[in-house]
Amino acid sequence: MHEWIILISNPLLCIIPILLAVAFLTLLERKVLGYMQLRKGPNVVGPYGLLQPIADGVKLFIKEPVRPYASSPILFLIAPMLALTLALTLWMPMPTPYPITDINLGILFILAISSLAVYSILGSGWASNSKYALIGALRAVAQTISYEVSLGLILLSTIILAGGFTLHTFNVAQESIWLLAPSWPLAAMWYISTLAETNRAPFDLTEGESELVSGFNVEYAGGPFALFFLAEYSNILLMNTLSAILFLGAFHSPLLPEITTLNLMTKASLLSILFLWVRASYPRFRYDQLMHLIWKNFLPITLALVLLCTALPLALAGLPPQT
Amino acid sequence: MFYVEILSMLLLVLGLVAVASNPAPYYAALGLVLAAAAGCCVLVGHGGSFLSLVLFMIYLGGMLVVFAYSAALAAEPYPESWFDLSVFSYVVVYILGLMVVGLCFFEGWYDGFWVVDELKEFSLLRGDFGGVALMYSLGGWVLVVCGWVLLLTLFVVLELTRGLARGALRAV
Amino acid sequence: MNLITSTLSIAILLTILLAMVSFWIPQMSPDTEKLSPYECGFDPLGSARLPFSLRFFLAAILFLLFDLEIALLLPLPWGDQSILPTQTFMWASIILILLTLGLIYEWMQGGLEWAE
Repeated sequence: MHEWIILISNPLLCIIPILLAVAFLTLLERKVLGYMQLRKGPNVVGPYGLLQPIADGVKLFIKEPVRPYASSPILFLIAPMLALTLALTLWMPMPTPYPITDINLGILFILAISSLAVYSILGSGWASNSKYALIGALRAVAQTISYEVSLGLILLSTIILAGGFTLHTFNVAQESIWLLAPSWPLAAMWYISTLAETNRAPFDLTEGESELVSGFNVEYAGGPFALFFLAEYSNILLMNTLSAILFLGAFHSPLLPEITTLNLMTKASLLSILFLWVRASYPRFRYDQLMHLIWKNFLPITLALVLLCTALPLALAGLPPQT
Repeated sequence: MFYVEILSMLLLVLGLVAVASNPAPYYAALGLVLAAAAGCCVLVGHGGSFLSLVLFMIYLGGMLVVFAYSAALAAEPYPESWFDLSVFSYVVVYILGLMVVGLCFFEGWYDGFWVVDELKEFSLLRGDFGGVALMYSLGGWVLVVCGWVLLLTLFVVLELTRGLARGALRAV
Repeated sequence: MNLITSTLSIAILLTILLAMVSFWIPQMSPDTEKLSPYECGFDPLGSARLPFSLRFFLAAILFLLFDLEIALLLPLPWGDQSILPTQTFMWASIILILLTLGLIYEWMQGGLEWAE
């Protein structure tokens, strides 16, 4: 009995706060964008508009969902469900500071699961059987997989520096100095790549309104759209938490694990706010610029940096301990 | 955990049936995804966690994405799913065949049960990880061959898609 | 049942629940106009399945090659712990150099140009 309670309550105690955080991230986004454009943003529902995300959620779920007659019915519904399931599963090995499941290959797990997210985009675009949706999906997939290459190489370099695939080793490795300091070029490229990987502005070409209406989710409305929406914002939060763990490691003291949580989440939310700031500041890239950025700039630099990050610990006799 | 293992073996077989029954490429890709994911779960159950995660990342996150991507670009107005008669008959035949074979081997099929992890309990490295690390000492030449194969593939793809005068496919 | 499978199943159950709620609560009144593929007001023209664009295909193949390369490099943290770490470094650099050569070749052949 006791075991079952743990099995059910632990994941729920992680998933529900994530969904709440996602809800308030949307509010924060609208507020920040609003104030950056000298307007107020949502301020009617509840004090300071605090209840706005709840109203939005309710509205999305009582709207009529559309199932276009040209679509493939099953795949059309499976795609958004897959997106949200993956987005929630990704949080499993996150050390905040105690993960739900302490996987020793946590980073590989995250890489593997997040590479599946492509299927939900491709599936939704293809199953909609609409031109805009398919073009949007193709663009999104090409963009996501291209940036996955640089994400993988950057992760590899940091893993070599930290010495293991367990996310918790990053906390230990960064006790004396943040990885941000010795490997800031990696960090900068990582941050930009996460922007592209989550399809955020200025890389939100998949939903370029002027050409593609809304990208791969044109045909979605109501509940299924809400699932996509939740997945997207959950992925944004996840990526920022991951950036915080990788480059701004949170000090972990076993006596006060709450401090680690607070520390980590503050950094993650600051990084998320930076996402919003970027969105308010920069215009959208052109598609060829986007592709040139990854293949002609990031890839050669990361290849060189992987070599450097392998060489440095050997040359300076600073190999991390075996885990 | 045992039931999860059984479930993933079942899904592996069902995924194979879904591919072998010859539906449209998109649905076949879906079947392959299922089979690959289930196969990785089976591998995890046998102790090969690094192997299975890397396979998962490469095969599911890499190769099949490219395959599904190319399949999604190919135009086909009425793709056949598993519920169309021609495909469904294959499914029925395969599942019946599976049942017959399963009955033949009903006892003792697990004789060759194997585990990836061969090291003793208190060793620092698991067999899985230590074995992979050997790729960088004893297996160096294999590694170079792998790299060479990747380079060759790149050349071949580039020559194929060169367009204009020399290539077989035309660049849009 | 361990926490991995239980988290996975709870996530799946939750999304199924949300999807079911979204089809159960709202009032459904479908009509042909609403259900036709979205295409700027007029009736959909032609098939939505597009012909093949080679640029996207090339990008996908390149991604695949580099993904495989990352997979080859992934055991490096353990490889670094071998008896001769410099040997590990040598093999790793050979792989990286091979792939860089491939990238240079592709660049020179114009495989990375997106728009002319």
